[in-house]
Amino acid sequence: MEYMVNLEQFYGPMDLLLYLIEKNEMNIYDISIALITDQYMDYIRATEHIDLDQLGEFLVMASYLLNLKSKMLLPDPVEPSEADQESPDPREELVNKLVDYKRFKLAAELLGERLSDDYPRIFYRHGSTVLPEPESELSATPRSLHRVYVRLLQDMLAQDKYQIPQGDINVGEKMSEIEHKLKLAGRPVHFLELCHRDLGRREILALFLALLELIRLGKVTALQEKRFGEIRMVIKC
Amino acid sequence: MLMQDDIKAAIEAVLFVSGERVGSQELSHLLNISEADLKQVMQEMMLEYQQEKRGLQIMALEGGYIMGTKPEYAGVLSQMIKPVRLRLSPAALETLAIIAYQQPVTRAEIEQLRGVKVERILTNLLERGLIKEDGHKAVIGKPIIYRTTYEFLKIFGLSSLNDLPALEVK
Repeated sequence: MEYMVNLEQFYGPMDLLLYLIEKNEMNIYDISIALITDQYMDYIRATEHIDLDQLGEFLVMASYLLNLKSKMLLPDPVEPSEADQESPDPREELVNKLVDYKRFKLAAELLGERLSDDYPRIFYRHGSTVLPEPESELSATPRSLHRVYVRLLQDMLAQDKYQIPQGDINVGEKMSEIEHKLKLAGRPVHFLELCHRDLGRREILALFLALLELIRLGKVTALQEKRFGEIRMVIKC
Repeated sequence: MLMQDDIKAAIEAVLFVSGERVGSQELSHLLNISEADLKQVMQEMMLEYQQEKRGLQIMALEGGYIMGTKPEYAGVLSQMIKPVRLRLSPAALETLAIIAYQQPVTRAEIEQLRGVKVERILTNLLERGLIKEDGHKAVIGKPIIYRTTYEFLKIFGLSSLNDLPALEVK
């Protein structure tokens, strides 16, 4: 290939793929995989300086395309009798991905327009339409690290002074607490309702152990409809 | 209880002084009216501002209201203030677009769509306050969920996510 190409001008493999499809004026729903794969491979081969991370991403797509190409070349192993039913097009997954990607590329353009200089924008009084450029590099010296660390230590010590000594937490007490609350409520109670904000982790754990014990003893039923969902507790009479 | 006109005047004053978004709850507390009444009043006010020849408008913005200029006067204003514009690389814009339209969304889901790693871009968007982390998805690995912030809406001149430009692809 006589010309130099630079993969870096593409934001990723999907972008390159879309570019090739458009350059060849192909219908996105009827891509000639063989042609596109060859051109895609040419691009990768012709690229010299590229960081490995990025190249990896392009190679993943390359191997996917090669796989697809071989699938397209091989005869369909479906029995003739079953051949009446349309076998799924192996390109379908790729097409869906491309269509999705195209949508978001368009979305990005639409959003980008709103940032352009001639877009009639809205001004606010405290309009922080100006966002600070993120710091590109962090700078720290051993001295500044030391200072921060010392301050952290001091903060931690200061906090300790105000900590109320924790009493022993008794699972048995928690069990009676749950039973009592459930009886009082007379309705299903959510586990989280029992966890007041100021409960420490240890206490919540004790509550949970108490609940498990009550379930084991058959005194309480607990329902959780989905994973990580709320736990509803009902007392058995 | 303030009269209707007084309420409107008071809202105007509050929004002017705040210069920021004021939440519906806060407004209704301040004025001692119900949120339903507030909504009604705000609807009227926003319409009045639109109909009258004014440089300002009131907009609904994610659970609150904000006062800003009308886009028609952007030309005049930009002669006066030269704002440092937000510059986003196309890759960052793509990522932001996916989050805006697909949210709540995880990093893996964004990478699936873009076919590239987006870790660095996400950090950048987070630092600029355009997106935020919003808990964990209840799947294996509990990945972080990303959403756009209300700053994002403000910067892109949207009053809510429903306001995002429609995507039509041939």
